[in-house]
Amino acid sequence: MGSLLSTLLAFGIAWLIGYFLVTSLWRMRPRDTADRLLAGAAAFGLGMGVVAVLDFLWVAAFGKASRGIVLADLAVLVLTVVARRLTRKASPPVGGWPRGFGWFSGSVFLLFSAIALGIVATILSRAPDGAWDAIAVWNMHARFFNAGGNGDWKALFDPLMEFTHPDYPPLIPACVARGWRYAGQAIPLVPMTLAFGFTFALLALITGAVASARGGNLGALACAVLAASPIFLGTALSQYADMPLAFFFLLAVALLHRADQESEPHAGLHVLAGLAAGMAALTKNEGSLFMVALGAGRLLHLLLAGKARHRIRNLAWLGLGMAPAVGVLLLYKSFSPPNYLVSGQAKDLWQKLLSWPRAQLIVEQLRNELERPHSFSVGFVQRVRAWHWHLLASSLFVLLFGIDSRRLRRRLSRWGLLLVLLGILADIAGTRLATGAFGWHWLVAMGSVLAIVILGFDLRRLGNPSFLAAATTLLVVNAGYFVVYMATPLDLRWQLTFSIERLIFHTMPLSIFVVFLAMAPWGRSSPGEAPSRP
Amino acid sequence: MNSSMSADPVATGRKRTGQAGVLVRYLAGAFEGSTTKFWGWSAVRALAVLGFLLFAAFTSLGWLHVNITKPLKNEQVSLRDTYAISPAELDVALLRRWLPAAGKIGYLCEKPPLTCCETRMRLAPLLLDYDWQKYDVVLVDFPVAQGRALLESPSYGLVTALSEARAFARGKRIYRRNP
Repeated sequence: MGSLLSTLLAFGIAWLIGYFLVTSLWRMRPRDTADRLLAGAAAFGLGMGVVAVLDFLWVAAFGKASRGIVLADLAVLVLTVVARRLTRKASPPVGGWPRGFGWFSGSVFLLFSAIALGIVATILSRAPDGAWDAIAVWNMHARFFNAGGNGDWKALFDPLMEFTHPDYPPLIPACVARGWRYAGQAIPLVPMTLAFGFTFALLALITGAVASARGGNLGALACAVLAASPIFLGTALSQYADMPLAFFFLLAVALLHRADQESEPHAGLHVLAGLAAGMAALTKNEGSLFMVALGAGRLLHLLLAGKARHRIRNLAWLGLGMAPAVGVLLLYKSFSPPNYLVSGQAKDLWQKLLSWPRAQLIVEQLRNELERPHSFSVGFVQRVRAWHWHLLASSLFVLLFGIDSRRLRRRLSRWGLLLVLLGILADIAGTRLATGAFGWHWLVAMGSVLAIVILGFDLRRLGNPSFLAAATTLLVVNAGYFVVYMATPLDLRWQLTFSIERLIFHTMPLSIFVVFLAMAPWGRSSPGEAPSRP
Repeated sequence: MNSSMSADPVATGRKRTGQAGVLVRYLAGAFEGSTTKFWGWSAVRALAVLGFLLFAAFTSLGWLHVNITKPLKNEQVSLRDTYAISPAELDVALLRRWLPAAGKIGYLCEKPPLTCCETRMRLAPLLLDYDWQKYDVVLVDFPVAQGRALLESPSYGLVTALSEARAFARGKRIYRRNP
């Protein structure tokens, strides 16, 4: 019981630090439930990031772990409280369910969150150590950060420990080590709670982010799409760093999109977005690629949105937010050995990058993983190797909501006849197939729906600079992953087998956010009725 | 999203293309949006939302049900063949490096056959515990249930719980989880 309370205290203090940090920088008070959900989720992630940085700096400075970190946490908490009081404005927050987030949105969010958390909690309670990398990498690193001897934590960087990838950034291990220090012992409850917390925070984040951009109804549906995904649930129970990484990816982009909706330049939201991107870099090495991708997206925004002086100033705020995490990352990297992607490269780098068979293999594995997941964590959730029916259903559903009805009405008459005929033909052909396999008739049906969407989709919705910036970030990250796979010094098939599902997940919440940004608004009071300001 | 016959493509009498055309126009009308105030679009959207939510909720509830009712025991570990005890030279070198005791250091790995990575992982926490320097021999044994390896909790259940590790280092066997 004492360990449970200590663990909850550790997470509670972290959340409070994050909350006061967010509300002191987000000076315009969160005005409605969507913004408050967004701020609350951001508080969890950024709070965990801040205390992890603090913990790592403590260990690096004093050479060993100590329960004195509790006092440091409390000092930072007091500082953030003071900062919030200094920056507080007179306008009070609006209470209750505001417009755009009503009983339907609230019910869907709560229902799907409860089911998802129930699944994750059930499996976590039966496999408290998580999956293999949680044991062999993330929680193993935490043991070294939790070492009692002076300088013992640096044993992590001994060449004999290469198998644990000591170059992996320290945010998650430092969070776990800090929790163990509060609890007084290394217990599985701490990494379990961390995984559970990020699971709920990500659900709240996707709901709040989409709701603040396109209205509460679509926010709740975005939550349902994510929460019912076996990849999401499988990643949550594995206790890997991929869930926090996906969280920070989405948080940074969502905060920037939220800042773009403001009529005046908002330094605080840009600093928070920079902090989120920096925390991504401190979570996994892929986070460094994300910082570059985010910068590329914002440069495009700078070019398209006008008001160059304001945009350049915003970029500076974004960079300022990233700076602390980059500094800590460089400090950590000064201890750790280089990543295998760098140290393992031979002279055949260009040959690999231009290899067509390697590209084909990557695409083939991606398709296989989307069709039928191979990872054992997804297998835990589903218990059977199954088609991603959820993916198909979500895609069709989301596509249907992308239609602009006026435009469709102008174009559908003749095309509609053709599509209906094609659909009937596909159905007839489908019933003649002997197996229930995913045959071409399904492809025709999907193509028909896609054609309806293309005919009815208003492309002007994609011209919003803020949308383009988010989409560019998404594309650059995935392009970067592709290049990394092409260049990997390890056996490509092996690496794809053991990582592609996690890489798909990294950008999955961000993909859902970007797709929902492109959807037609639903509900009279949706903020998305009026296109967001560039 | 309100109903209005004036937006009905048939009622407005724009272009007529016979019975098939009327059918298509009604289908098209079902996709009308809020600006045209046709009830069909609201119905399609409501059905789409309802269908998706029901599908997603029941699928998720199915996963919750199967995970609550079906135990995980023996599912997460691929049980491999056992083999004879053999010294692992690499791990002896590992211990020698970190435990510079003058005495004999041995490492016995019983079943299951562990890969180098797995063995190192289990030994890594020892690097941080200097109490091990008191002992000449480190005997590592892994819990075995019904003749088969049981690695349900390989990290926390074995050497990483240092109190247990100290116990078996004094010559006792490690306690067995779920014997």
